[in-house]
Amino acid sequence: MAIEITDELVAHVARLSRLGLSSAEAAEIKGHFRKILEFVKTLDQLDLKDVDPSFFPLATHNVFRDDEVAPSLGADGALRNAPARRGDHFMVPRIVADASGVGGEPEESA
Amino acid sequence: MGAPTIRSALEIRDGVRSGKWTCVEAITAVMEQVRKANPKIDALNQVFADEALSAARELDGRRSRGEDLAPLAGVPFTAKDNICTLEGNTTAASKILHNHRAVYPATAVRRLQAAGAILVGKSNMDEFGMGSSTENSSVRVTKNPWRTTHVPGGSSGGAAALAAAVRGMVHLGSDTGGSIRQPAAYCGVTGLKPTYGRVSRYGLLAFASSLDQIGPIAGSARDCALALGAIAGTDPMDSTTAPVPVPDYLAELAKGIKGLRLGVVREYFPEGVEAEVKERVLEAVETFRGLGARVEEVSFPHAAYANPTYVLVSGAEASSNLARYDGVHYGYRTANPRSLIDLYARSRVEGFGPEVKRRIMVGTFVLSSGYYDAFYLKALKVRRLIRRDFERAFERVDAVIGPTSPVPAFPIGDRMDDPLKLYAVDVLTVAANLASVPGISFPCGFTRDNLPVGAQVFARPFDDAVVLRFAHAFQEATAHHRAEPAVCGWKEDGRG
Amino acid sequence: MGDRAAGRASAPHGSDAAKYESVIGLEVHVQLSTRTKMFCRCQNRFGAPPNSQTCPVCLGHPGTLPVINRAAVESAVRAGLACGSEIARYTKFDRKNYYYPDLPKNYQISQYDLPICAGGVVDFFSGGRRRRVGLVRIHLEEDAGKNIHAAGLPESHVDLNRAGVPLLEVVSAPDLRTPEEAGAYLKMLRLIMVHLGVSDCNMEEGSLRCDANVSIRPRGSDQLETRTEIKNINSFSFVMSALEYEIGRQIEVREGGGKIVQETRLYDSARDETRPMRGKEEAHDYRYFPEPDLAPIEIDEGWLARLREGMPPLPIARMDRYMNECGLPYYDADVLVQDRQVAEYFEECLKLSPSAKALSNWLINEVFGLMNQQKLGIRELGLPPGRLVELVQSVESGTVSKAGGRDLFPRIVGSTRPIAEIVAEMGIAQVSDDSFIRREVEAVVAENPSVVEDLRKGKKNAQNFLVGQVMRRTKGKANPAAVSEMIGKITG
Repeated sequence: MAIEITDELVAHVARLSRLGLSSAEAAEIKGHFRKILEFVKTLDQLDLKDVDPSFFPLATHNVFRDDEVAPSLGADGALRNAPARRGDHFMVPRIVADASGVGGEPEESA
Repeated sequence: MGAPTIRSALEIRDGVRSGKWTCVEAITAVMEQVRKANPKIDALNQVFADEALSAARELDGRRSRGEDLAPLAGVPFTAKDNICTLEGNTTAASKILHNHRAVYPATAVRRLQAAGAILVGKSNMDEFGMGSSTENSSVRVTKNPWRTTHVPGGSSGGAAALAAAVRGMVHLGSDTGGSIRQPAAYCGVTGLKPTYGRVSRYGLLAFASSLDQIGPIAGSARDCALALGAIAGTDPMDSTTAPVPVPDYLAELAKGIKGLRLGVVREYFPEGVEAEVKERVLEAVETFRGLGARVEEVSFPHAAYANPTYVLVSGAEASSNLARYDGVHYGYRTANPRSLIDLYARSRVEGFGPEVKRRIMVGTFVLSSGYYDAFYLKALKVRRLIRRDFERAFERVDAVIGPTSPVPAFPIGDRMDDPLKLYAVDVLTVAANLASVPGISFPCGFTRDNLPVGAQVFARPFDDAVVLRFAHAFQEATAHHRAEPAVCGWKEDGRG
Repeated sequence: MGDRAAGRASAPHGSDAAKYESVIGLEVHVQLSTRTKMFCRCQNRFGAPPNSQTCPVCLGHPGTLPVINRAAVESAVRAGLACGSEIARYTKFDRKNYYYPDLPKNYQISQYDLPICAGGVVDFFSGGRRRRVGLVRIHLEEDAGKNIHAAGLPESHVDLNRAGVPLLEVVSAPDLRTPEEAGAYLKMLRLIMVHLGVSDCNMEEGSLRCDANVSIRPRGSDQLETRTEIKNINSFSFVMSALEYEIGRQIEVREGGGKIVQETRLYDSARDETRPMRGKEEAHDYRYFPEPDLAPIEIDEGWLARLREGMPPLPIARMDRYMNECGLPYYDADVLVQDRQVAEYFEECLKLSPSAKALSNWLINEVFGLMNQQKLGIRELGLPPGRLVELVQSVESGTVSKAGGRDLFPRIVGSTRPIAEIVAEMGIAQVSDDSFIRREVEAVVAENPSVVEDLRKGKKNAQNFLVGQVMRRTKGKANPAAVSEMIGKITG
């Protein structure tokens, strides 16, 4: 499979990965992608038509737990490592753009 | 009173149990070795001297009150810095977690501590487990105690280095593509990657979920068996642990290897393996033959595809597992983020080292729309073929053997200009993770310029006792695992 | 569309609306009412103080792993069984990867290609007609936390209490054709979940959330055209308003020669309109792959059989029975099934008495009022079914009048005393004795000759006046029906 590693592809993957790469880093990774593609090309030598992918490595299934409550950490425990907090909330730069268009992030919540 | 002469963790365990030593005496003696050796090899990111002494006193107190001693009481251990401990920080040797304090202990740590073992420090590693030399640590460079200009291997380089330089400890490392076994080989110690699902991953900072395992690194197979017995078994917090009973690994060692069938993997001795490495490993095969193992050749037709498969599978899983490090809920956050997307993009680019960023990028690419089938799915199919190679071999033999790494420890800096040069040293270790089989590396000799060489034995899933038996049998018949490195903490003059 | 359209800029012309058919599908997220979250043991409860209901697992702390809540899986299977879906013999979880502050791991554990339930139907009533909507799938996933956009500050605040709560996603086929139908379907889906005990489906608390997919096409066409997705619909009535607006907007665009853009739009209830979501619209690449931390799920016949046992009848099956077998009107049947306990209570009453309409009236007019007032469930009132039946029978037999019955009702609740005893004590026993009635009627007739004259001439009110007089003389005790009959006899 001939894939062209372009600056656009690298930029797209960087955005998906939320990595604000410098141009030097992006250039280095572009070269790295090409090497990796070359490195994994050998897999194309194999006939995989009738081979099932190996997903879960163990033979187990139906690993469940009971619906019984255990103590939570509590807000202080939860926020102890927070880089920024406001009261009992985690704090981030404003997500939804307000009337003036400040802030904002094109993602939607679940 | 003279300081106790400690040769192994088992000796500490038995000594404390018999009353020969108190826990405080044992810990003090080991910490003294650490104090002498660690500054020369920089194996540890954190040392918990006070906490260790406290724990030792507490155990001694319990015993003097007539309480029963826990099975590993007094045995000192370290945890790799990607394993959660309540003590100190858990950083994965990454700037993105540089002052992160875990709010819960890893199950493996909890079990060791419940068994009376004493946590003495956190060992250095390649950032997030990504690397084969411990040069990718954001904290420090660990040196090989056999030659301090050389790497200790990785990613559990700190654990292996300290296992070689200090006696009487066991060390928890982690292995995703060889990160326990390869540093064990480079440092002349014994390292076991248990069967996938044998030891709980709860509290191990995930790199590749279907490949990672926590395992012991120590001066001998017996010490590894001691540690494995304490940490193995199902964990309700980890759905990938298997409900397979845990045998008494120490007792199993006594069974020896006579009559067991050992397969020498033809494809594990290709061009790229250095001559002296091949020679030492083939000598080990002869030793096994002399001990009564039935030796034959086996073939792994898909051996050459293991490393590319590993790169794709581990990269994909890692790209998802490391998404959580984003500066929002814990860890490093960039200063003055202008927006949410800026917060993510800069925290991550500033917090992660270059190799981690490379792997996240490759992994994201491999899973992305349009490429999933050609890369990730394809790799999972090849993984199936690699697993079959092992299954077929184990229809004929009980264990297989080969070198752990194609080369011995190399000079610091030698392979840092090209990531693929580093990936190349994984070529013999990654298959065991892909196939989910147990693998042990033990020292089988030295090169002519006195660098350790490791041999690697694999067995069927959950036959961890079998690989331990091979390594132990070898160590009863030889003395390579007792050789002294240039830096060793148990010598009066602290050579190094 | 009615009056609501009048104030809107995009009100479509009557004839324009008739040219087009709407094609609507709903994606409904139902929060399960399990005790704990989907993958950890934090309590699953609405309204806790921020971030107090979290643990390392649902916070996505380094090194943590999910573990599947069996009860959530069983709820999903029961929901599928209730809707006639095919339950997967083999199912698994997948990771859906995207970045958002309310998603601590920056991936959501969900289901992609092997959902736990496939297909199924939901039957419901809309506009007096019976309708059927197909389901595409039902799957399990974990909920995200909540982002709160702090007023006046360049900050957003994140509460992760909700992160990890189990969700069922129910995806309907695009079979709905009007906003009213969509509302009715949603109400029935909710009712099914409530009857199963799988969720309390409270839209105000967010345990029932709904996104809509809408498109229009020329009437008579069977092609599916470009659709928009509407999010941020927070109540049942907003579902219908949002759809009405969007359909109107799409018609206007088409009539104006434009094309519908495939996009996600948010419903603004304050302005009653939909707007495109702010920011560069970018197709998400979720990079789905199987969740490596969780073992797959295999559902065998034995497990299914155990889950089928103890499943209640569907609300619509109950309604069918009430209407077809018991002759109740749609309104009554609908009201009675809204509460599963009430439906079961009603059915127990039916075992003892065939008077379905009378029982229904009593429930709707009197019992529900008492339940609301005392904030009690029907089983907690102290009014066993047999007792209500007795009351109904007392009125039917004429022992008490209807009015007397209403007075009697509060006295029999919470008491085990025989009804006859209470009736006697209250002195409300209705008299139907022939001679008594005759005597009283004769007296009234004698006292009101002119009214009797009016009656003979056919004046309607005369009858009522005379009955009223008898009732006054007897202090309400006479059986009015018997009085009427007697008046007729005596006056000829």
